[in-house]
Amino acid sequence: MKIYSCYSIKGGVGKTALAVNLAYYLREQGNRTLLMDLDPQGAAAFYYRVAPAEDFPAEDAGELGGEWIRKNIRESDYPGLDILPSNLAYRHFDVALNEMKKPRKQLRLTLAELRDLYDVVVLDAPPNITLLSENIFRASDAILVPVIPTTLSARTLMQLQEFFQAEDLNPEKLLPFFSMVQYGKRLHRDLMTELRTLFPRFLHAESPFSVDVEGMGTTRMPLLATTADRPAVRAYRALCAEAVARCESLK
Amino acid sequence: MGTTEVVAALGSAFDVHRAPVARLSTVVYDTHVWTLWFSGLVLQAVNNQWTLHTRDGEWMEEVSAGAAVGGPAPRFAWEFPAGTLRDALEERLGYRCLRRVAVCRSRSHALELRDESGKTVVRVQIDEIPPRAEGDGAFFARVQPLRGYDSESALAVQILRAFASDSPDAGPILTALRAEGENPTPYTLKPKLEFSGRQTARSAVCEAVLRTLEIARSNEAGIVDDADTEFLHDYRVCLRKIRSALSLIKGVFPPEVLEGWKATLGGLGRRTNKLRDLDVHLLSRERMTSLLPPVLQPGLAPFFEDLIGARAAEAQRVSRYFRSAAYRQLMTELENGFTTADQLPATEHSASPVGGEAAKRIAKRFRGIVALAKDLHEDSADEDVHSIRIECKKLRYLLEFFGRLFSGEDVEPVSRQLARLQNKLGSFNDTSVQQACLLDYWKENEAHGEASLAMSLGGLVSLLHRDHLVLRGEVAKVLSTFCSSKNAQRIAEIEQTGGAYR
Repeated sequence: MKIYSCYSIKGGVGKTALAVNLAYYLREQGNRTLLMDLDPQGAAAFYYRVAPAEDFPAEDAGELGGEWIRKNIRESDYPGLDILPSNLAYRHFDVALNEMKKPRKQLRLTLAELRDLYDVVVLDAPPNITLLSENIFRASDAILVPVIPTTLSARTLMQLQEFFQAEDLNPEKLLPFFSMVQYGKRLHRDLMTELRTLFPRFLHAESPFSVDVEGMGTTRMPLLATTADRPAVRAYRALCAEAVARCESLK
Repeated sequence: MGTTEVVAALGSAFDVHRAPVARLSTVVYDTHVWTLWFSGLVLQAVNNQWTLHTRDGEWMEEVSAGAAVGGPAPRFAWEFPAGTLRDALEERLGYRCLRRVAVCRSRSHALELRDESGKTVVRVQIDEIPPRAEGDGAFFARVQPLRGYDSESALAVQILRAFASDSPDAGPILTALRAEGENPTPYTLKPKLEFSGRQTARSAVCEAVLRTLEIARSNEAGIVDDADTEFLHDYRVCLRKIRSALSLIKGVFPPEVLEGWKATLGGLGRRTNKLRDLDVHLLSRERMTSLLPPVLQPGLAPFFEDLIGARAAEAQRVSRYFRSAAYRQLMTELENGFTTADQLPATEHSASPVGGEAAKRIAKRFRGIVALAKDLHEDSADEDVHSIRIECKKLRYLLEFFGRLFSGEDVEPVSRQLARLQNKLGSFNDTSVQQACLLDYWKENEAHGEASLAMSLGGLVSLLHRDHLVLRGEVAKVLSTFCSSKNAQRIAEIEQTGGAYR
C-alpha cells in the first residue's frame, strides 16, 4: 500500500486541489483508493460532497482509532475511491497524540490496518507543523509540496528540508511542485528558474492558476472527472502522472 | 405497476436521478448442454461485440472477457479471435459447439439516489423484461449499497420491498430465457440411479441401462444435425456402458436374450465406428502436424484433405440412419425389452441382491488386474497390455454403476487411481491405433502417393512409435501404484459390505 500526502505549511496554495485530483487519478489507474482529509477545514471531503465525520470520541485516544476510521469511511460517487472526511475535533489531534505511546508513528500504525482494503491512501494534511504533521511525514511514501513561486517559498522549502534532516526523515520523499503559476508574471518565471536550481527535486509538471480549479468548489467534483480538455485538466493529469512515477522510483 | 411508481416511491426519501433507459437486445449463446450457464457464465453478443459475463445467481456481473468478432457467429471456441475471451471459452467448451440460445430483450434503468448535497448514496438497477404474447412482464430491482451509507441502502430496500417479493423464483436472465422458451437443464453422462443394494440384480441392471439409454437418446438430435463431434462421442460412450452393464454380472438375463441385445448394440456401435474414427483423426490434426518439423508438415495436407471428404460423406450416412424408421423401431424394441425384462424367465442371479453380486465381481476384476500386472514385463507383447486395459474398463463400469452401494472412502480412491491408469492405457493404445491408421492409409495410396506424403507419414509413424515406447514405461509405473496393498485392502472392505447384502 502506497501513501501519498499533500502538505504545505501555508494554506491556500493548492494543496487540497491536488489531493482531490490525485486521489481521483489513482483510482482511475485502477487502485483501490482512500482519500483521508486530515485538515479540520474539511475541504477535500466537501469537494466530493461528503458530509463531515462523526466526532472523534475521547475514549479512543489510546490509538488513532482504526475502528472509528472504518465507521466513517464513505464511498465517493466514483466506485473504488473512498473518502474519510475530517471533523473539527481534529484540532484536538495533537493533544491526543501527545498522550499516546509512539506519538510520531501512530498514523503509520493505523494506516497499516487498512492494507487489506486499499492499494493507495492520499492524505490531505493540515497547513501547520505539529505532531500530526510529523506523523504524516513518517507515514508517507511521497510528500507532495505545492509551492507558489514567491521569494518566501525558497525559505519555507529550506526550512522543511532542514526539519527533515534534523528529525532523521528522508528528504527524498519531498516532491515540491509549482502551484498557481501565473506565467504572465515575470517574477513567477524568474523565481521558478531560481528555485529549480536550488531544489533539483522539483517536479517538471506545473499547475497553473486557473478558474477551473477555483470552480471545483461549485461543481463539487474533481477536475479530472470532467471530460473537458482544458489546460488545467491537462496540467493536473501530468502532475499526477509524474508524482506517481517519482513515488514508484523512490525506495 | 411500473418503474414510474417505484421511482416516485424512492423519490419521497431521495433525490432520484435516472440515466437514460438502456434498451438491451442481446443474443445469448451457449452449448446445447448449457456448459457456460452451469459454469456460472453468460455469453452474449450485441452486434459484433461479444462479452462473457460471470453470473452471480441471477444477475449478470462483471464482464470477464470480450472481443469484437466480424463475420458470422463463431460456433467453436477456436473460431474466436485470440484473446482472453477465446482462452476462457476454450477452457470450458472443449469440442462442443455454441448455439444461439435466445434473443433476450430488457429495459435497464440505472438510478442514482442522492442526498441534499447531491452526493450519490445508493445505486439501484432496475431490469424490466417485457411480456411475451400473453402474460405479465417481469421486473427486477437490485440495490447496490455504497460503503458508509448503510442506513440509506436499508431505506431503499425497505421502500422497494413494498412492491415486490424478496426472492423471486427466477431472476432477470433466467426469466428472459424462459420467456423465449429456454430453460437451462444440467447434462451429465452419469445416470441418476436409485436402486438399493438389496434390490434384485436384474431390476438394478435394467434401471442402470434404461437411465443410460435416456442419456444416449438425448444426443440423437445433435447427431442428426451434426452440430459437433461430442454428441456422437457421448452417444457411443453410453452405448458402451450399456453393453458393459448387461454383462458385468453373469446370470442376470437368459443367454439368448442377452446375446440378442449385445448384437443389437454392437451393430449400432459399428454403424458409427468409422465416423468416430474420422472425427478423432481430424480433431488431432493440429497436434499431429505440429509433431513434425515444418518442412514435412505440408506433406500431410493431402492425407487430411481425404479425411475431410470421407468424414462429410460418413456424417451424412449416419445422420440419415438416425432419422430412419428402422432406427426408431430398433430403439423402441430395446427400450421395451429392458422395461419388461422382469417378465423374462428367472436365471441364476436374476433375483440375487445386486450389492452382493457387484461386490464379488469388483473384487474378482481387481485381483484379475493384479495377476495380469504381475506377469507383465518389459518384453511383453502389446496384446498383454491390451488385456489389462479391457479388465480395467470392466472394473471401471462396475464401480460407476454399483460403487454407490459401498463406502465412498473405499470406492473413491480406487476409482480415481483407476481413472489415472486408464488414461495412461488409453494414450498407449492411441499410439498403436494411430500408427496403424497411417500405415493403412499409405498402403492404400502407395501407387499414386507422392514422396513428400511418404516422408511425412513416415516421420509421424516414427514419432508415434517413440511415444509408444515411453508410454509403455509409464504404464508399468502407474499399474504398480494401482495394484498396491492399500487398494487391495479397500477392495476387501467392499467385498465385506457386499457380503452383508446377501
